[in-house]
Amino acid sequence: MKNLVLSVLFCFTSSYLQAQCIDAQFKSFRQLAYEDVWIGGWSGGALEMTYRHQLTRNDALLGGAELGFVSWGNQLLFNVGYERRWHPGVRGWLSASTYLSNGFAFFTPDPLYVGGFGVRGGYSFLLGRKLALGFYTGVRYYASPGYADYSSINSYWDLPIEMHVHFGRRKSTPVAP
Amino acid sequence: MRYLFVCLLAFAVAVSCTHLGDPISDQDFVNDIYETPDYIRITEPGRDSFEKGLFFYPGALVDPFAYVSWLDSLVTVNPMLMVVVVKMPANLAVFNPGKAFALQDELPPANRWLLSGHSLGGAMACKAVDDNRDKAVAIILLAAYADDKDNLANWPHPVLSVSAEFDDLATAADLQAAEYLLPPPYRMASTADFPMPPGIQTFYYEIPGGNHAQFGNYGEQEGDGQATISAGEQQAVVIDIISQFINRL
Repeated sequence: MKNLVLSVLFCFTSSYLQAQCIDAQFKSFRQLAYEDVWIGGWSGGALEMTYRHQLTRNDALLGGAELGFVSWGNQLLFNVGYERRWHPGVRGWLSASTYLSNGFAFFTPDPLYVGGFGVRGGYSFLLGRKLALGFYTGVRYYASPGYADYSSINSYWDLPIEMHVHFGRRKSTPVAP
Repeated sequence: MRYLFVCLLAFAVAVSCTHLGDPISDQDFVNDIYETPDYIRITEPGRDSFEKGLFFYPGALVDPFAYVSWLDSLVTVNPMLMVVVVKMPANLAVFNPGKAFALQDELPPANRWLLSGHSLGGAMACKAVDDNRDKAVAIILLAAYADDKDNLANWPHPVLSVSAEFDDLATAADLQAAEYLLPPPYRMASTADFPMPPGIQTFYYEIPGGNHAQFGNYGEQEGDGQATISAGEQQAVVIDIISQFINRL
């Protein structure tokens, strides 16, 4: 199990390093609701490495691996999504994105599937030609259908609070990192 | 170098697997089981105030429902008892040892509160009590012992420490080495030693034939010894000895 995870992360990390167009995202999850019950509280946290594939100056496809923990324990999610950017000034950009999550929770004897989706928006500040720092929030839903055999709570709505570190391309480009 | 070690440790924790218990659909609970993202509460049906409240911290990387089956039986034997299994971040009590006391306000009232835990959960229960010395009246440790930073030797309340003969993860030597951190020891050769003598003491009882993992229902655990009794038999002894302990409080 650990070898599988390490291999997957290594493959993803390798491609990021070659592409030189990655985000490191630090996430804290505030709880909004579980099943049909609205509550508050802290749900967990995660680190995601995301590759951005630029389509146009303002549009990009996202692909990332998110390692973190939530109420039921540790999990690895692979996120794919779409991002739209706006550039109101030269110091940074506004961004909105939506994504789908698929992955698994680390359980033994067998891992359990986890799926979900989310939307987020925020603002990123340029710190240099190849570096930017962004602050984002949004809403996300995730569930583990198999965990219903072990608990009466197997789905959550969270409010992620995220800090993104954007690493840009090596070559000079008019596109923000 | 230190940062590298911390990063590797964090990564190792992040990819660690949680032991699942038996599917709840296979179990017939007698009492009310109320679950939130923070805890699982087990109470006699219809009861809303309690003589005692027992917080239970699961072992490291063990799903909290892996203990609910025998804790349900404990409530059946002690209907005035409310059991609250505390869910921990990443299923590691070390990340929030004081969580039990933070939950007290949102639970039904109980006259007295006890803390208990299995393995790392027990060690963190000791830590929670050390940090909040006047908020609990007893500690129950299952295959667990206090960390050397949490010296409860002068804590004015009793402790029950239940271990297992073939536990290779929390061994008799480990428990003995940490004895000085708890009130003076009183060893029980059998559960027939009850009623226990008065006074502030740590009551030690080792379950013959038991092991570490059978304090829960999550299967075998790597590094553990081989039990010669079933999980049901081991848990029946645990229920018996805990019931006798809490009834003397």
